[in-house]
Amino acid sequence: MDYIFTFKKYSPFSLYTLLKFWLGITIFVFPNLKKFFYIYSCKSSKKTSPLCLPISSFRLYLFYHIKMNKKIYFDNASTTKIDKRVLKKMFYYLNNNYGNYSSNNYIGLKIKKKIDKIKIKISKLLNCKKKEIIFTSGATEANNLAIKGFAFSNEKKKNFLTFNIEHKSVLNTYKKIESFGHKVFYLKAEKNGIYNVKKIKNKIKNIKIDMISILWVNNEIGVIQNVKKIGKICKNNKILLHIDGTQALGKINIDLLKNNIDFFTASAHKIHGPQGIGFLYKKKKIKICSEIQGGGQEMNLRSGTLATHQIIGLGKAIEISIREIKKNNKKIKKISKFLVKNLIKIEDTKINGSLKNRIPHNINISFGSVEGESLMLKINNISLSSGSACNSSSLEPSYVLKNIGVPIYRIHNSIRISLGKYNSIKEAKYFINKIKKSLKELRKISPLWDMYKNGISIKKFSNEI
Amino acid sequence: MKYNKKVIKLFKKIKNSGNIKKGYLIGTGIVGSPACGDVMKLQIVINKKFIIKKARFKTYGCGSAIASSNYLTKIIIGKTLKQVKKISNIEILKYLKLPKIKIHCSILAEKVLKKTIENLFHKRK
Repeated sequence: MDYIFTFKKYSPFSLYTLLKFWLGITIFVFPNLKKFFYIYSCKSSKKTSPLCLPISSFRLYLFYHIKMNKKIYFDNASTTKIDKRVLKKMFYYLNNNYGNYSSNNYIGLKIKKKIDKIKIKISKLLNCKKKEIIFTSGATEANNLAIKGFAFSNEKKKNFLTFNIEHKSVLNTYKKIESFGHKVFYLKAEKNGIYNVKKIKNKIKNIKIDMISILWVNNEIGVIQNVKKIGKICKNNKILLHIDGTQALGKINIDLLKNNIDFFTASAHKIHGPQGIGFLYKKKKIKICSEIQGGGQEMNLRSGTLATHQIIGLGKAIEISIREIKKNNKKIKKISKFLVKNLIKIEDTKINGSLKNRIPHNINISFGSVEGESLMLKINNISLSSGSACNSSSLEPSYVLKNIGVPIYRIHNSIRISLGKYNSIKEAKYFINKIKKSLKELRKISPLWDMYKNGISIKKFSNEI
Repeated sequence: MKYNKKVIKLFKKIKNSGNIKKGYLIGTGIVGSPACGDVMKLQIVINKKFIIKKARFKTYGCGSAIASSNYLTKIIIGKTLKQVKKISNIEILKYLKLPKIKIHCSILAEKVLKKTIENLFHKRK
């Protein structure tokens, strides 16, 4: 009895199969019936019928659907996808060579040779000496080591100079140093985010300054500073120059000797390398004291066992990024030009920071009367970063945009798009279509958009309430 | 920011948004400022028996602000003004399970409700 029933069920003219067939076709034609289709697919996958034309059509549809809903990574300024060539080398060393760098046995000596080779490779690529490179856990630790190490190297109180749109790892260490009696002067950046060299000259004339800290490429607005000019001023006035090059490495050409740089910091995970490794370049003549005491590795400046596989990953990542710098920049320039051209066309949008002196990887844009965090929630499959307060754990909006004079209501609207070598123009096209759609939806429910349309300025409104 | 599933559901399925132009008695209220990052606008219509017939919101702000105002309109409709006056931010907070930093979103929703009711009585006089 059961057999007959099942036979009837799957026969080509039974109601069940006909329903299946027509359902498949209707959903293939009208892809908006997503939800219904998911339930249907679960049922059909358990029972395998001989006539499964609708299922094949469903699979085609699913393939199409997944391809459209894929995840896009536009947050390369925070961290990047690891390169496969780097990963391959790291795996090899994790599997086979498990020795300690500072032990004197066979494997230890082998690793010592390898790490020395990597140091030579990095020094050749950046134009410095082998003994001037110190491996740390990242750029933050490297910045701490450079600033604190120099400040506490002797008992003399020192004067420092920075700008107010520097990275937090520099600004907060200076805050700590100030409590120990050192003096720190903060200069204001221009409205386009670029540092004025004349301001530095004026400051130097009045006060004797020991060290200047400068972010080569800003992490939020991607502006490139004129390090060559500042380096010359520093050399003439005998001032040390500390440069945070985390965002600059692999994106612009770097020459440490020619630019008269004394401290340089960078990390691997911004250039498609592993997380948790970075390095500090320090000129040989300068004496600094260590922050971490221990076994005396890295010329007694950063104790702790060296992470072999990560250092190998760092070396490979730097080598790849510098060798392919032209090819990658050409590709990314194309994408960013396309994005900027299409994003500006949207009503009430503004790009933050100068467009001239900027790396092509970074676009910081604010869309009027739409909150950045809600926009990010709306386009969930595209990872971006926002300057609004809601996104971060603290309740303050981005200090970088605030300090270059962007009004506060515009900071809440801002979004940072940062491109990498794995992005493509196809993704950019998809992104623009999606952002236009979600902007329309969010502006529909925004009271500020009504005001903008009626001609009431939001500036006045923010003062009233 | 990691949100509860309910917040995301309410954020994606927005029901009662828009403006009201016709009705027996309309009350409107706006709370917040664009400098803080959240602006909420609520409009309600009551009939002669003081029952809320319609409620529409418009919100500019983060996901939790939009979700909490959406939830607020869901609760309000069909209730009398006396019942509505008792609604506090704790009720919204308990349902949405907002993280600690986002408590101000639920407080804002409560403030909007009180302001609109105030506006209603003001018009009646």
